Amino acid sequence: MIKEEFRRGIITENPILVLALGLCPALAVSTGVKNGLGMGLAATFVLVSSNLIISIAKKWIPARVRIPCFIVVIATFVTIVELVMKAYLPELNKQLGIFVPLIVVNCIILGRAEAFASKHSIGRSVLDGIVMGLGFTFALTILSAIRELLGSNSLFGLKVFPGFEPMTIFILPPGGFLTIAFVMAAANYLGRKRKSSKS
Amino acid sequence: MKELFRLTLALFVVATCAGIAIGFVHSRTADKISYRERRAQRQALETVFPPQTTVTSVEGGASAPHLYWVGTKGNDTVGYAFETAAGGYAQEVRIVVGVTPEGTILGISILKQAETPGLGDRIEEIASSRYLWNALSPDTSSQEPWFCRQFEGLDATESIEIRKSAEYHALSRAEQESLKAENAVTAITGATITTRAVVRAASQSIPSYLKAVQGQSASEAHP
Repeated sequence: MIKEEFRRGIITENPILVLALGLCPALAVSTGVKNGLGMGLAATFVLVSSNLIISIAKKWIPARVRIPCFIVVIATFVTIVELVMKAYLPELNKQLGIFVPLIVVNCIILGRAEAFASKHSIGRSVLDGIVMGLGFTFALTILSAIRELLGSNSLFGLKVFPGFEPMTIFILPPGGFLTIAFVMAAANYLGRKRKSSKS
Repeated sequence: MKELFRLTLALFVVATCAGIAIGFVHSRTADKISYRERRAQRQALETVFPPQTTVTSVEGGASAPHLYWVGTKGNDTVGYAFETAAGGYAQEVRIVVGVTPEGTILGISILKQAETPGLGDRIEEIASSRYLWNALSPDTSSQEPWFCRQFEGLDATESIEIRKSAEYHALSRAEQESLKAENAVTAITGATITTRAVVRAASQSIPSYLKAVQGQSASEAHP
């Protein structure tokens, strides 16, 4: 069952490539692999934690005010993570510092809280946070690797091909849209091919 | 009516718990965070002054900036450092600028910025000469961000031009020299607003600061 869950988060229900959730941060921070990976991991951490807290607290939260309550829980969690990172993990904070406040508005977190954690048990909610977070990280890493390679001819800040003139447009917003469109199309094509070969 | 009360109470409890949790964490981390910020400031001062400079902080008077630093070597004043800021693309960009008494920039260092990753945040990028396959070999290139390095030797009392040519680290030595002669810096591709913010912070208030600081030290010397 766990294997099935991982397949769901990373492939069949990948938050970016299939559910098209959280495209805004995905476009904004996929300019380099370091950034993409960092944002993915930071979001995964918050996603797991907020899923955990919301699945515990779901009994006491009245349905009509659940969205504001979820947002407050997520924002509180993000602020705490930010303060702790600033105080005790300055190196990590330098790398991830500016992504952390962005996580509050990442709709994957709210989306999973609303669609999953508020209806399922604690264990399954945490597992959902892990697989969805990994799917998000996976998609971001692919997008940012393509954009960094084409747009600045480097990976993790290290140059790749000597004498290759990078296409700056891939680092700029239009390149983000282009890349995400091609990767999404490829993911959909592969998904459809698998479905038809099964049936 | 009862329902309304219940909803309000739920929100009240959630918000109160959140407030208490953040307040608690803040009280535990505030000292540590301000200590880290002071240390970052000290490191920034070390980069903007030449090595072996003695740096002393000075509380400014009414006309001078409220805190600045004087760098001395023996009895000579090497220069002054000021903390300045200008609005960038996301938030304000806060930098430390070191200038000689004549207004030539000794160096700048970014203290705080939250610009777009991959675009504006490249003001702190260290240009690497290494390729993916020799990543483990020692890096011989400068460890100072190339964007900051190009301000060294520019005149802060004149306006600093922005050139949208190839970026500074990709230029030849001769082209870098001619940029310096024109009192110009190269912009970061796709981040003109951030570039402008740093240029503004590095030059805008420097002439008046210098005037105020020199006036202050002159009046101290001849009371």
